[in-house]
Parts: sequence; structure tokens; C-alpha cells
Amino acid sequence: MPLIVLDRDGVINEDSDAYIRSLADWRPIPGSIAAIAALSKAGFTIAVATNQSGLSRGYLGLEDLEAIHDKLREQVEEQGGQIAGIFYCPHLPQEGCSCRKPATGLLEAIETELGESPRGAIFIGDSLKDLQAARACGCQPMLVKTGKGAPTASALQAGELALADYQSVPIYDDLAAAARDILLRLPASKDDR
Amino acid sequence: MATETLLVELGTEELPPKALKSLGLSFRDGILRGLTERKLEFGDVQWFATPRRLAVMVSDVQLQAPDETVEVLGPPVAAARDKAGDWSPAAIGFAKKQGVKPEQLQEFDSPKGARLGLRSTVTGAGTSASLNEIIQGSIQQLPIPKRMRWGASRVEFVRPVHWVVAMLGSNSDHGEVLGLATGNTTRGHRFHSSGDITLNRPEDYQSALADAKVVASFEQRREMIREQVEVEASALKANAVIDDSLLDEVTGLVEWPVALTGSFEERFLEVPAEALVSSMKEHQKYFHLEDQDGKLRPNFITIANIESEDPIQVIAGNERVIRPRLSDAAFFFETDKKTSLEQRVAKLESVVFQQKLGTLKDKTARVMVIAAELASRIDSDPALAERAALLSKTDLLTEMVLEFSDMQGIAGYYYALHDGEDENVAVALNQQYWPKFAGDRLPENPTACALGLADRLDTLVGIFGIGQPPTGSKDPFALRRASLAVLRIMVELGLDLDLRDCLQLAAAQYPEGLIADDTPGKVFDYMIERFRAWYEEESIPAEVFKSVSARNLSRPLDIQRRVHAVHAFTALPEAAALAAANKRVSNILEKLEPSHVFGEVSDNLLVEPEEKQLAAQLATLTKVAQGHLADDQYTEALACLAGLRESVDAFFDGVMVNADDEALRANRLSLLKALRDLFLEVADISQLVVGK
Repeated sequence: MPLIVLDRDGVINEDSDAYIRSLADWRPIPGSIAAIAALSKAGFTIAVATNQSGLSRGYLGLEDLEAIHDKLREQVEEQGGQIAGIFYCPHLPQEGCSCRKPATGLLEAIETELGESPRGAIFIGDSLKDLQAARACGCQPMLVKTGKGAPTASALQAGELALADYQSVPIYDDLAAAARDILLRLPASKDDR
Repeated sequence: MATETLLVELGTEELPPKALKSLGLSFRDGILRGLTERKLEFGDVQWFATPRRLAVMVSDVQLQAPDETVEVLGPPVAAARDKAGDWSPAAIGFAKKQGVKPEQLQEFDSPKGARLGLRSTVTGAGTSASLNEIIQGSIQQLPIPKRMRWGASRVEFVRPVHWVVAMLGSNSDHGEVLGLATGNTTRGHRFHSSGDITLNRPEDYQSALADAKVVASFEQRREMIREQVEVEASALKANAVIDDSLLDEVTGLVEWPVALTGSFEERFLEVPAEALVSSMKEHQKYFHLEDQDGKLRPNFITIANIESEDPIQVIAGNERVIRPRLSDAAFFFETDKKTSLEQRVAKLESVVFQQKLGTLKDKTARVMVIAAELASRIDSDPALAERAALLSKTDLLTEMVLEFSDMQGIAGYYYALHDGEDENVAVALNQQYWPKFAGDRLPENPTACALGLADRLDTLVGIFGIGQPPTGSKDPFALRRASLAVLRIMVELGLDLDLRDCLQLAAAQYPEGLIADDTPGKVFDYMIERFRAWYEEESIPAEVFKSVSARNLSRPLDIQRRVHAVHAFTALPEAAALAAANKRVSNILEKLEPSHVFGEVSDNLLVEPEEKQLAAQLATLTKVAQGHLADDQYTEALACLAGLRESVDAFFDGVMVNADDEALRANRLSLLKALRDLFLEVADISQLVVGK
């Protein structure tokens, strides 16, 4: 089944430099819930891969994180869609773990857990780390301009980022715009078995 | 009078699909209420609701409400000036309150004499100026389960609002709503359209949206979906099962419906159809298909919100999504069948029913006794009821029910059949839960009735017994629903059981001291109160039920028959007079010393023709009425007693009950007592006298 991996903060919900610490801080970006539901209904497996170092920093607890993820799932399900799995890295950058993006641990976990190969999957993110992780696993990266995406997009287009073949990364205003393109195009190549 | 067409649209993040219709209707009603309150007249109304918008279009809306002349009356003219001819404090006070000088007041003739007063003109509301208030007012009254505050705005709404269209003709500048300036730009389909759509006139709304792949009207979209589903189904020569609430929900999920048919592997059809339907309907919002015999077909119809260039791909996607769910169901079904329900009974010990009331094993033991006893009371086989009770909760331990909770009961039915249980037992395992909701169907076999009653009575007595009766907002064990189910089963299936006895039977199964002694009585009162509420919903007047409940009866079927008899009686022309007479008799009898002894009515002591007539007629009708009563024919009995009306009226007109002669008086009281007792055989119809 074709897989779409989504970064969370800045793609699904508004990002914050102060971290998203509780359900009260969590605000979906307009159209993102509808986009996830629509992609799911079109037959894509939806997985979320998110760095949550706030856990190690003590900014939020597991219950807070789960409350946010329950809400996210609930809203997507209300619109008739499903999120197959939400995968997060709790570590600090300096810990040198294998899951914090741009490392590929989360994508490997997705493959183990969901039985879907990230190779050929679409990976939608707002930061260089997302694009790098995507490339490392053979995903097809897409960039959205929400969250940290606008500066990332300018830097990417100027060729300032450490990403080969950067011209091939499609850039969208937001997740809804990316979804529109995916849904109406439905590229046969995405099911790259 | 100048009028324009009004268009109001709230553009939002996707609204909750199950609530969309009620939100749309309520938004419309709120706008119309706002116009009406401001005395603004209007013409035809259309409402629209899609996942992204609520909208109302109203034709011929008055642009300005007419000015109104208002007269306010103050003090009497006589009290307007003091002796010196100066304005009195009353006049000055009134003028001040009205914001004018006393000299500006005028004199008016009123029914209470000449009064000082003020006639002023109140300027009518301007529609444009009031529009944002009208919209805001409508938003505030929407039935929203959970309001969300979002962004910097202080205003709460169920979902973020992104734009507000408010147009009166071509004018779209009407201030702010929810912090957004009103305008004339809307947006189209989330994925098929991008950017703003400018409306030149309100009337363009539907066509502009249709161009942007949005069917704005809820009703129209709903019918489109129904038609598309039926067309897809007929292509397969199958019937689509279109459940109204699913249809509403799907209508709330799409702006541009496109029906697509998918299929699943035939082998899944071995799984109970209910489990497959549940997977398709609850999770995926698919419509399922049946063949001519009502057998499930290995197909489904999904409503996409998108017109894909490659529908095959979308169908394949949906098939991939539903497959693992059906595989799960099939796997659970196969696994569960390896353990019989009987083998699961011991494990009921590991599931707590209620902390104080023990485990499901304890409950099972109690319900077995109650069900067997009830079965024998309704002439059904106690052994079957006992067996059904033994297995009644075992399906809760199956993988199937753990995964698909709405398979509770249904799974039990299939597994019992597989285990070779008696068909009545299998059916009872499922139908014990019927009726599941108000108006749901009732159990169809007596074993299921006995089990369903026993299970609910046990729960009612237990939960009340440990002091946790339902409150206005809390009813975790759904005792309200359980009560109504018990009453409906007894009444509508004609099971003539004594509710008080049944409750005592249930209470007796609990260990000594676990539940309070007065529990059966408390539950009884609670259930009778539910009975009253039930009649209220059926628009049977409260006093009708009161007249019957005053008799303190405890067989629901009997109560039902009497209530309907009294209700029919109230439609008779004689009813009011006879109710009043009963009331009068009741008052007379109540005033007697408690030690008063009523004797037989003695013919020798009947003097006046009116009392002779009443006594004679009473004697005749008593015999007829007793015959009806012996057959529980209360309606006929009361119809027959209605014939007493003239005699009773004549009696009260012509006979003095409190005669000086003690013997005559006592005889007359006995006659009245006999009359009253006869009516009381059915109901206390003195309660029908309303008021006072």
C-alpha cells in the first residue's frame, strides 16, 4: 500500500519555538486534517514521524504527547480517514540517537511496524532534516512552506542546503496544497514496488 | 419598500460530519430569528451546509425596518401638578426617565383616565448595520458540543472560521463577524479548486460553487449520493443498504460526491455479516450491498470527495484499506470458534461487573435463577432460559467482541449456533439486548424476553441497591434505558408480570446485606416514574396516568390497559361530569370520621326518586361492568359506567346527602361509596379534574 510519511510540527500543526507542550498548544494548520483524511481515503497509508526532544527536555510528558496524538487521530477519523501510526523520537540532539531526523530510525520503525517500505514513499516535511531523512531512505521528499518551511524553501531554491538534486523537491504552500496535487495527479509511480 | 437578497456564508475548517445537518438548520433558524426580532420582513429561504461552510440565502429581505411609534404612559394628569401649579415630582420623574422635559409630555386618554405620556418614534433597524449582530447571534446559538477557542480571537466556535460572506444584494460591507470583515469572496472545493471566488450577487452562489466543484445544498447532495449509490448498486444487480444516519454522515463528509464501487474477497463472506458491515460502515463509511435474498455481497460503495482522473487507483486504495479489517474479523471468528462459549464461563470470574456487586460470573449466577423463574411465569421453558443466562455474557470474552464492541450479542448468537446450542438459546444471546435504543425492535422469542428482563432487573436492583441511582446527568449503567426496555417488553409483548414481584425476585439473589432492604420499592418507584414520562411522550395527559397510578398497581400490562381505557374515556362527552362527580364524592367521603362504617345500600331507605334511580342503575351497570372487568376490558367497563352520568347529575341536583335523618344519610353515603368503588375498580377518575 502506498505510504505517506508526514512530519508533525509545522506540517500538521502550527509550530512553536517554545515547543508544543500540551493539547492547549496544539493547533492544526488549516486544511491539514482534511488533507490527511482525504489522502487516507484515497488509499494511502499515513504515518507521522516527529522529533519530540521536548520529552527529554522535560517540557511535556508522555501523557501530554498522547493526548495530542489522540486528538489528532480523533479529528482525522471524524473526517473518515485514519493515521496508521505516529512515531516520535524523544531524544536530545546531542544524544546521537539513531531515530532523530535526519537519522532514519523513525522510518525504519515505520517499515517494521506497518510493513510498508519507505522506499518510494512520499515524505512531507518543513525542514531540511525531513528532506535529508527522506532522501536517506529513498523516499520522495516534498516541502511545505508552513512551520519552518518558508525559510527552508528559499534556502533550498538558492541551493544553499546540503541536499543533492534539490531542484526536484516539490514545494507547496501547505499540506492541503500538497494533498491536492497528490490526489488529483495520483501518480502511478508512487506504488514503487 | 426596498428589499435585497441576503446571502450569509461562514467558511470554516471541516465541520463535524455527524452534526452538519443540525448545524446548518440551526444556523438558518438563527439568521431568520435575528431578522424577525428586528421586524425585518423577508421572502423565500434556502439553507446550505457542506464540510467547509454553513450558508443561508434569503430573498426579498427588507433593508430597513419601519419606524415605530411608541406611547409610554406616565402619571395621571390629575397628579401632574402640585397645588401651586408646578410640575409634581411624579411628572418630573417620569419626564426624566424618558429623557425629556415635563413640558414635552402630552395628555392621553386611557382606560384608567387621563394620563401624562410621551409619544415617540423609534427608528427601525437597518439590515446592513445589524447584520453582523444577527450572524453573531446565530453562531452563538448553534448546538455545538465542544466549542473551540482558536487563534487570537475571543470568540468560540466549533471549528476555525476562515471567511464570512455577507451580501445584501451587491453590498458586502457589513462590519466584522468573529474578527473577520464580511465580504463577497468564498472558496470552492478543498482539493479541486484554489483561491478566492468573487460573487457578484447572492443569487450566483450555488452556480459559482458548482463551478468550483461544490454542491452547496445539503439536501441536494444527499439525494445525489443516494442516487449515485443506487446506480452503482443496480449495475451489480444488487440492493444498496442506505442507512439514513450513514447517508447524513457521508453527506457531511463531501462537497463533490463521487460514488465508487469496490469489492472484497468472497471468502470473507463466511464471517458473520454484521461484523463485515460494522467494519465497512463504522470505520470506512461505506454502503454495503445485498442480493435479492438479503445476503451480503462482497462489494461496497464508497463516496469519494474527489473526482479522480484515475478512479481505479482510488478504488484499489479503498480495497487495500478495508482488507486488513476484514481479515482481522475473519481471523477472530476462526480463533474464537476453537473455544466453546461454555468453556468460557469460568473466565467470567476475571471480569468485574461492578466493584461491590462482583464479577460477571456472580451476575451470571443471579441472572440464571431470575431468568428461569421468569420463563416459567411466561409459560416458556425455564431450562432454556437458564442455559441462555449461563452463556449470556461469555461473548464479551471473545476476540471478536473485544475488537468490534457492537458485535456483542451478535457474536454470541453465531458462536452458540456453532457450538450446537438450542436455536432459542442462540437467539436469546443476541436478542437479550433488544431494544437497544428508544423505538428499537423487541425480542422475538420468550427465552430472549426472560433473559433480557432478568439481566436488566438484576442490574437495576444491584446498582440502586448500592446507592448509585441515576442522576440527571449521570447514568453510567444506562438504567433509564433498562427501565424502559423492561416496561416495553412487558407491555408491548403482553407479558403480564408483576413488576414488584420481579424486583423482589431479583433482590433475593443478592447475598444478605449487600443491597439495601428498601431497594425493590425504590426501583419500582423509579420505573413507574419512567412509565409516566413514557406516556407524556405519547401525549397522554399526566392526569390520566395519575388516575391509574393512584391505584398503586404493579403489573405494567395492567397499568397500560387501564391508562388506555381512561384515555379513551376522557374523550367521551360524559367524562368531565363524571370526573367532577367522583371528585365531589371523594371529598364528601374524605370528610367522614375514619370510624364511619358503610353498610349495604338499603332499598327501603331510598326516598327521593333520583336516589332510587341511581341505585337501580348502579345495580344493573355494576353487573355489566364486573363482567368486563373480569376480562380486563377496562375501556368497555368505563364506557358502560359513562351511562351513569345523568343519574349522578340528577342525584346531586335533587338529593340532599346530609339529611337530618341519620339512617337516610348513612344510606346515601353508602350509595355514593358504592358508586365511587365501582369507578375505582378501573382508576381514580376524580384525578382527571384538572386545576385547583
